[in-house]
Amino acid sequence: MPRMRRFPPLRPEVLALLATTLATPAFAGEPAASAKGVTQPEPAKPGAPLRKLGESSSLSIQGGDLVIHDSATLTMRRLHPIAAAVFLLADGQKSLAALRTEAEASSGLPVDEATLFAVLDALADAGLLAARVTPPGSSDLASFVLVDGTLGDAVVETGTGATAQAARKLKLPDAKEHESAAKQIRRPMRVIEATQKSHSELLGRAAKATGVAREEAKKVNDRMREREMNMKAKREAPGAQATTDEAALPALKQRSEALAKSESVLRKRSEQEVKVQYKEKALPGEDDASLRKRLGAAEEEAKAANTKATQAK
Amino acid sequence: MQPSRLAIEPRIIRIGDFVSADEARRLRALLDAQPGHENETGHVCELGELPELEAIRQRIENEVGFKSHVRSLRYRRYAEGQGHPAHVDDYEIDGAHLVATAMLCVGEPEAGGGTEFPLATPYPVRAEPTMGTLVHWRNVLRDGRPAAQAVHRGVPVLRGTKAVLLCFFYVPLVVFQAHEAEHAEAYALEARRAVLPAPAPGTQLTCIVDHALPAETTNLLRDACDARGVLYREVEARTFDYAGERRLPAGAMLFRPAVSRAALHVEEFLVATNVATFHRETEGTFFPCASPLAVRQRAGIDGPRSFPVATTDPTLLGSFVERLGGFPVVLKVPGGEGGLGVMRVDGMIALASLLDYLVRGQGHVPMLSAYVPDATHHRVIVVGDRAVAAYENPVRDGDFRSTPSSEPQAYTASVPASLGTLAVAATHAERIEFAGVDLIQHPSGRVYVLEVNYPCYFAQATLGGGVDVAGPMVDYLVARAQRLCS
Repeated sequence: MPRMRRFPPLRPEVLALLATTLATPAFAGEPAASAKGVTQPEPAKPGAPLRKLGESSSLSIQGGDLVIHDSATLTMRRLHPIAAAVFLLADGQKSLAALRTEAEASSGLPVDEATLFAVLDALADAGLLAARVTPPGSSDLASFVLVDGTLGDAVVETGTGATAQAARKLKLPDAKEHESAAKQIRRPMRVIEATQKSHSELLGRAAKATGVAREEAKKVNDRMREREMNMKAKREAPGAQATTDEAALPALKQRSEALAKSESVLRKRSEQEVKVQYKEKALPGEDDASLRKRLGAAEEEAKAANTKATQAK
Repeated sequence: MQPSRLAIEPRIIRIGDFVSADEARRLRALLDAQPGHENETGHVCELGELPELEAIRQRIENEVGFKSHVRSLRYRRYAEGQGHPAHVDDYEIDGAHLVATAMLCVGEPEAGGGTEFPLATPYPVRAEPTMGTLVHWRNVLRDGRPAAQAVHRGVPVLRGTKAVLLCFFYVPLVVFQAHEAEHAEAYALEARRAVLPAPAPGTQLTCIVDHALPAETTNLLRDACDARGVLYREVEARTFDYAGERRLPAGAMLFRPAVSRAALHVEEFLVATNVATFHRETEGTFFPCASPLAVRQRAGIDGPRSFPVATTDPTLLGSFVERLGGFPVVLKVPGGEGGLGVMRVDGMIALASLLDYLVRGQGHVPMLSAYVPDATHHRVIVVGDRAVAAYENPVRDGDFRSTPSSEPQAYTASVPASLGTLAVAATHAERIEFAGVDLIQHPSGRVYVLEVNYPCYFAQATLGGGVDVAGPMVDYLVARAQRLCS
């Protein structure tokens, strides 16, 4: 599970530093400095870092962090407390050693040389320094464990404009590849979808038909119930008496069923006998079709013979 | 004392108290009185027909089992610091071959002076020079071919004097072969009964060399071993006998200063569990660091920001360069030595055309790095947890690359902490315990790690500024071997 990246909140010392910094014209390229009528900052000493804030940038404290918002690029940068302290202290006059000591004191976090250089790299990468103090290094602040055990970048960037565009540009070949793959998948998907559609239509039709059938059955039942009610009403009418036939109905019904049963048995037996006789008429190796044909022809001949015989009579 | 067999091949036999200490002293007095001469290996005296030596010669011949067809006795005396380089006794006089050598110690040094057989099997052998002890060995195999395993060297005497009486056995090969055939069964039985325990941990160093390895590298290592009583054994990578060799025993020490592919294979073949190497783990031999830059970056080791470049897309290259702080930048093609393949690029036209050749033409993926101007270049040598040597590598005239300083004062064993700590951390990040770390220091004080070289040419620190590196290397391996087997 990824570790939650959280900055320790800014200490009052850094907030005070922010207040002081905002009141001084030390920002490289800050347009408001002259407009405010304050004196221009001293030129930066060689090797002394000087912070830079673009025309469209503004500082704020959000959720306990120093945040720099750039309205032109729609970028928001959240600074790690060490980065915030270094940024605010980088007035172009302080040596690296002084900057390190003061950043450590104000942030309350250990700032060794490697950390300072990594922070300066991060600030320069983010365009928050007027110039790089040293060539950029390969390490990043994420490798350094802070006092509270959390890990954090020197500068966190959340882009909505240029960053997103760059990301889209970088992702373009990937996207094309994915799109082509998606097309390949979509084709059989369409077939499956069509099949599913026809299946559901059929099911719908079947459900509809079932509904109609149920309605019909209900109507028949209703009619039968109505007839029974009528008959019952007739029977229960004053003066009405059960007829002999009605009294004998169950016995008759039983007998009828027995007769039907015996008739069915007899019919089956007769059919079997016919089949046996039929089979007996077959020549060796003769199949049903030829037998049927031959017998049919014989019957025709017999009929013709009978007809001739009748005429002769 | 009963003879004891010290190796299977060659047949090395040691007999303690072959003569008494008094007898040995008397012999030495006699031999010292003979006229001899000095050469680079010490005092030498060819002994003629001395009647006083007849009895001892007879005893030695009886022990060895031959009667030499040529009488050859020699007296050798080694003072402190003197030894005998590795060689095989291979000589012929009038059709008789030098098939065996016997050495009787008549003067025991206080320290050093052993006779080493580094290629003996199953384990290398060191015969210590003990007063009155006789050691004899075969110089040829049973079939008459010279025995490569019989190569031996006299370790330099550290303190005192070593004195030996040498008896050479010249026999026609047919006679020798007949003798060996006659005694084959007895010798086989003797070999089977021989107690040949694996060497104690940290007593033998195997060093893999090749033709390209500078001699001073191995000389320094051998000297360091001699000074510590460690048996030094060299293995030549190109002629390594994969069929006859076997993995090293636990507690042995292994180092590969050679960088050839052949040497790598030999190292992989010889290494085994609990063999002390400069890899942090035994498996490290098989898994050399494939992406050192990324590994160091993950460990928080600062170096100039770098990107591997596999493109010639100008837009991408432009963004890379911007991220590296702009031109100039450094382009490095891996594989070169002494700065070969490292180029400074001052503009986009040069970069694009170079990359076109390297990436599209040659299929390389060079590293594009930030250029550190006005930097001081250092080499720090790390052994274990210590930075044992450091020296400055001044930038060459008209170049941006550097070479080792020729000023002895530029070399130091007291490495500044700002360099040493970083060099040790970078070495350990790559899972090794010995390396030559290249660092550059910007005028601001920022130190960048350029490279961690393993193996490295450590001899430079000793030859250029007298700083011992081989000693700490052997000490480290000895301690590690003992720790592994404890």
